[in-house]
Amino acid sequence: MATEFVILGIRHHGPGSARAVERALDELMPQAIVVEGPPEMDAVIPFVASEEMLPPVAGLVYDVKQPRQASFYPLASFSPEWVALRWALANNVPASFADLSATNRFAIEAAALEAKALEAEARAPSEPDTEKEDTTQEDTAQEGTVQDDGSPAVMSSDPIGTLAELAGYDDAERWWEDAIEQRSVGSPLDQFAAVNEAMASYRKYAEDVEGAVPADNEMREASMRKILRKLAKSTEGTIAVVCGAFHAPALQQDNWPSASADNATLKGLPKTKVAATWAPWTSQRLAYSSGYGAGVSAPGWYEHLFSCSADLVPTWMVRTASLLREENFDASPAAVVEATRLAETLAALRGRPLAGVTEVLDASTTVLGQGSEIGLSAIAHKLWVGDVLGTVPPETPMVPLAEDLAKLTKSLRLKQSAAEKVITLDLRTESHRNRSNLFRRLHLLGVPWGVEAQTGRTGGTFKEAWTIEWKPEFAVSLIEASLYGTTVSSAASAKAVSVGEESETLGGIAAIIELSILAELNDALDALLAMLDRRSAEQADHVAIMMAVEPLARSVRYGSVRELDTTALESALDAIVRRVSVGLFAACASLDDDAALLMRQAIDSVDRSIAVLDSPELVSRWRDALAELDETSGHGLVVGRVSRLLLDSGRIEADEAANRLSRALSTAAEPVQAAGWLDGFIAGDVSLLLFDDRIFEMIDEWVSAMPEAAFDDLLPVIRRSFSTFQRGERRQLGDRVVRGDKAAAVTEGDIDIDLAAPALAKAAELLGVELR
Amino acid sequence: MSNTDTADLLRAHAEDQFADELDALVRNDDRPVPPQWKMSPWAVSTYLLGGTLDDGTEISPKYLGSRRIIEIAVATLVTDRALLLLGVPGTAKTWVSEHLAAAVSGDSTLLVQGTAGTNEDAIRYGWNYAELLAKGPSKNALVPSPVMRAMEEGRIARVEELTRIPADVQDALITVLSEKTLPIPELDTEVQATRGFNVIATANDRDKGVNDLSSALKRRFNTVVLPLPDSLEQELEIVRSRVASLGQALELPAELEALSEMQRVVTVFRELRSGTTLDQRTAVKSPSSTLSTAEAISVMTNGLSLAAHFGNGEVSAADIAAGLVGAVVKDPVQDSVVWQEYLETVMRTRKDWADLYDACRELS
Repeated sequence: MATEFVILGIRHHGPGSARAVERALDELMPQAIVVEGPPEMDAVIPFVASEEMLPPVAGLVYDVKQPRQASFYPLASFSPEWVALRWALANNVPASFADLSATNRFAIEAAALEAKALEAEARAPSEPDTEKEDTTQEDTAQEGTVQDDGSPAVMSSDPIGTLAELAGYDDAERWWEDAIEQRSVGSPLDQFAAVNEAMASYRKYAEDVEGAVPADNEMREASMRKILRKLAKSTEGTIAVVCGAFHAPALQQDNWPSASADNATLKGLPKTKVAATWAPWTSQRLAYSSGYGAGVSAPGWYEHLFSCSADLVPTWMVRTASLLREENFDASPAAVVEATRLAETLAALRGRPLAGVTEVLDASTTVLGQGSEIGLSAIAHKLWVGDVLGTVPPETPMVPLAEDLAKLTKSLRLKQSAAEKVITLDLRTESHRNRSNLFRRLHLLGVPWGVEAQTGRTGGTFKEAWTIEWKPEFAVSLIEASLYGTTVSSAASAKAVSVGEESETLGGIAAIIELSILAELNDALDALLAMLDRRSAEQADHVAIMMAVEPLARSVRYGSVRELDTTALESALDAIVRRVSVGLFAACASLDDDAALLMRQAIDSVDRSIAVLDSPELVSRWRDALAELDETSGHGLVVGRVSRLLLDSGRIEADEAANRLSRALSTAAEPVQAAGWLDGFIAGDVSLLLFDDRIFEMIDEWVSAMPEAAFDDLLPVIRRSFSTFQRGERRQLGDRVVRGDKAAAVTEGDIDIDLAAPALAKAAELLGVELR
Repeated sequence: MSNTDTADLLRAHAEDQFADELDALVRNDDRPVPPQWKMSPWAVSTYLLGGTLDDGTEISPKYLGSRRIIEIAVATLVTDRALLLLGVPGTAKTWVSEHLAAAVSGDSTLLVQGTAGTNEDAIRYGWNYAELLAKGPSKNALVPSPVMRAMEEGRIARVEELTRIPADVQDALITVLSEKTLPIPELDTEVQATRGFNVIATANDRDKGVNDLSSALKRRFNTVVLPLPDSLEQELEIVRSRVASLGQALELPAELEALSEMQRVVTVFRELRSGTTLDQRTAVKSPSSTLSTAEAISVMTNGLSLAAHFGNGEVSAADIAAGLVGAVVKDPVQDSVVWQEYLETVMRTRKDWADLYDACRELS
């Protein structure tokens, strides 16, 4: 029985490797193919052959009990693993995965985390909330493993990096591209043999210099060998093994340690139950690092390298130019020619066999972009990353997000029913609060199972009503949402952050912050607050910054209702109010009517929100900024409103307000400005004007003292200001003027308590307050 | 060119000042040399970026910054496309252009200085009117421009401040760059460029109200943007060496012990320019001013002379505050908001910056 293993050491997501693998397989015609990856994924290999399976997709292995413990193995059309699997299925050759099984790996990692948590607990002083802290620590740590496991980057050092350094390259990717990927001459088998040899000497070097290979790696390679041994017993002929280049030397048959040694390494490993499936992936997510280690920075370029064999640079430049034209930038065919020439000259000058990413980028910036990156950055995402969305056949097993939801649904005693139903939640109980959080999180993920309904607002902020109705299409939405994470909570956090990133206004970010607080997405909150800080500094539109204050202030209050730690939020709010205050004066200069109206609304909203905050320092800072504005410095609408706010807050005396009023409405003033001033000053509830003697008298006195000629001039202005009130309100005002007394004012002595008592009692009952 | 003793000159041409280095590069050059070039493209990049040659000669770096940029510039000249160096003031555009010309053609003197008054004669040719009137139009009466000479001799012509030249005069370059020929209709002849001819132009992309390049002309150039220095250390090094040499030239007695002041100035410049603090934790707005390294240098020299003549000879926060505010606040409305915000949100929070904060507050 003769079984020969041919080890094809590749770079994950390397298009050159993929092409070499394809050619090597054609040459070898192996009897079986083994691909690096957890053996649990063997079960889902047949799906790869499906017509509906279009890369990019990701193999997904997760812990059944704890779906958050999961690894993604993204595959693009240019991934060597994908090419090998497709080749196997097309040629009717059995394919399988080989690696440390996820069953063991997840269990080992969980145990390690537990040990860490225990250690942390031992170190932490025994305070009542220690337990709580530990849970959060554990949670974040587990999140981290989704990114890291299974990757060659877990090694203490970076093999390709070291080899590149030895070859005089500062960038490992570039070295690999030059030395391996872009050399398409000779038999691919020779190329793989050379890679194996290089890696063998590297590993020797690493062992000499840095000690043994990490234990984790030993276990993984032992598992791979174990699977290969098993395969050797059942298969005759050539077996091709596609694995990360680093592992290649360890899988060379003549280097194998004895079977019993490997078995000893793998003996007694802990186990947990895992499941495997495929999930659709996007080219953008290929750019992140995950299961297969380093992500690729430019999937679009790699796709191009893989699919285009001749005239690599000219075709790329033509693509760049046509994308530029779509975005209405100039890109002439002559420029394409020049860019190609420059890229190739640069490659020669830098001593590279072919133009690579750097050369192409440099040449297109210099020639096509004419030195500027504006046009190129507009198309960068489309060109370098692409926006391909992969698909998986409908019969693939359910994604962990859906499983997590099923579990949450069960534990919260909800039912996914197609019938519409209204439930009322009292946020003071934990289970109700969790339900509310679940609905909000799902909403964020595009699964509007629950829709918030009116509660009738009986009891303040702790009561919510939800209309729930499960629709079949939510299942699809869940798969889409699973791109963001494997649990409802982590996916919603990731989604919140990405919504924030895409939001064009500060108000949008503030709104998503508010949502995150309501849904208790604390992980997302930190990132969003940092984003808010960054964007508020970049934001030139002052009104936009001001509009962010109110949702934030609301969030601070909700946060306290929900017993959240709002320190970070408060400091963000603090910074924004500072910015708003510093820039207010300049922002109010030279506004036109529309802008002034917006500014007035913004000032109102900031003032409203600051008033409810318990921060005298912020209030005084804001009012200081308001006090700087007078009629010489801004639009009447704004200044009138500001004067009113200052009067209400006692910042200026009634006399001063009266002076301002008469100054602003004096005949020398522009009529439109004056109207705006008055409008701003009296805007709001008419009852204030009816029942507040101060303001009423101020205006009354001003009108009475006016010379007749001036009155004629100003009448349209005044009429216009009062026209915003309802007819009935205007009549009441008129009545009061006619009576000429303080009719509305009521002094305490006039009240008959006995008469009022029943009404008061009823009012108190309605408001839910105690009568003193 | 230079029979004058270069030691007496206030400033020698690059090819004279670095003649030894250029010689050594030519001696050690074993790579293919493009026609009419003095050395291979590799040697040109080494000349600009510095390095050690095989025979041990040290080549001093002329340009501190990204290798990529110099490589693109050199590769552009190899593809015989014209090179346009673009950048804000104080990013060594002229410096790079002079050294490139010196290394490629051994001559950096074929120079057209662009001004609002530059006319076509400066780019094409003029006439010796005495000769013209006496003998009529002839080759002898023709006064060639630096561009024309460069075409005839196969060298690099330099055009400084291209965007300051009126648009119609700029257009004279179009034929030169695309057809590589300069017609002389008066004599019914033309001058055709010989191999090795090329143009390096520099232009400032910050100044408003200058003559933008027409897209026809822009297309004929490969544009390389020279950036502001990458890192705090790099910029600090540039500022330190320049301030030290300027201080010597002005014979200022003040001591430049205050590296920390310099560090703060460069930090403020970099933070405002990049829109974020160095620790990447806080975002700030950028003012309308360029805040180039050259301005940082002038803030420091200004502080140095304040300290020398009015202070105790040691540069203190108060000495640099005035220059700092002046450099940042160029537009009294917009920039002062930016500056106030920076003072309140960044400077105030740095404990050991209290003296500078107070000094700046006093001035605003």
